[in-house]
Amino acid sequence: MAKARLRDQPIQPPIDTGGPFSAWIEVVRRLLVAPEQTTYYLMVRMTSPFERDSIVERAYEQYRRKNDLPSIDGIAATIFPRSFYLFSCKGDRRALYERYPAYRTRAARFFGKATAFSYFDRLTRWRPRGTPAPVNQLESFIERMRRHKTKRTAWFYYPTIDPSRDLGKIMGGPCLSAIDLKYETDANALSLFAAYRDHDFAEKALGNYVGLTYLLEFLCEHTKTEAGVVMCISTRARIEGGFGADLRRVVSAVDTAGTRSSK
Amino acid sequence: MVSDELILARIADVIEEYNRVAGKSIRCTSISMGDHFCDDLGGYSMDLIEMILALEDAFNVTISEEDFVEADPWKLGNLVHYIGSRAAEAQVG
Repeated sequence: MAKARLRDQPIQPPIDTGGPFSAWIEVVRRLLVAPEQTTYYLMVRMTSPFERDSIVERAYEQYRRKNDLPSIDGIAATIFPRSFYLFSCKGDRRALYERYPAYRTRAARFFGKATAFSYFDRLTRWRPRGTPAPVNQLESFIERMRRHKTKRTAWFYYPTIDPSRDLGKIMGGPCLSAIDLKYETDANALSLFAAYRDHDFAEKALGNYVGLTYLLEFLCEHTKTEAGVVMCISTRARIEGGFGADLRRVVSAVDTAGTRSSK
Repeated sequence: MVSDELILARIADVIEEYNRVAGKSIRCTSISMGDHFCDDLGGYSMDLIEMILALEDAFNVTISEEDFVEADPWKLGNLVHYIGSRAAEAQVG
């Protein structure tokens, strides 16, 4: 198999699509024919971030169950715990911030697992070692938008990678490095950009995409803005763990179902 | 003493409300003690945790994470028996 050498690969054309499901399947199609099923600096734009695709969702669910992979919402919850916010916290963002740390610890213990870091935790309790108090980056954004949004176009950048904790890690560091938010005054639209340093499209990426759209939905709700686009760059995108054959079947199932539904 | 039927009915109510609020489609009608939360109802681990938190409030019990793993609450019958035993302990205590 050809090596996935960076210098030998052409720069990837961006993928421009509707929602997270169609984005994921388009990336998978591309990775399946890429050397070592890996590519670099892949840009994806979702112009209808809340759009679902039941055909892709069904095919993914079959694949997920067969391989005992985590659920889409389980992965998405590391970016934004939507069900917990809507149901247990009754859509109250203060309750969400307050209750999330204990919830996260308990949720892991319920299934006999250690508590891993979560991106939502880093976005709402950003605390590099040595800093006196955690910073709630999301709330800071919401407050700033509430005060200033009508005045000008604005842009914000929030890290999820913490050099004080992550620099020494060889494995297991955050794959999502930062989110970037852009507000367009004339359209009252908020867009979200995410940077992934390493993106596994076999197990994680669909849940990641969905989580980003949940986060945007939450931010739009509390800043009274419309959803713009979700953009994501994967500086390395790959199919990990030998799932290529199964993912080919997912693509085939989607194509077959799509052909049937268009007849 | 809280009956199994009452707990099962409450679980169905909680799932129905959860579906409505969180936009889920977990089966909440005709559920039985033999059902599996994932295989038969279509719920995931995140959903099960939400159920547990709601049931803690509904029956005024605290569910220990360690007991939870042991109890295998994916099976509704196990979940019902576990909640029932915690509720009985709470009443005695």
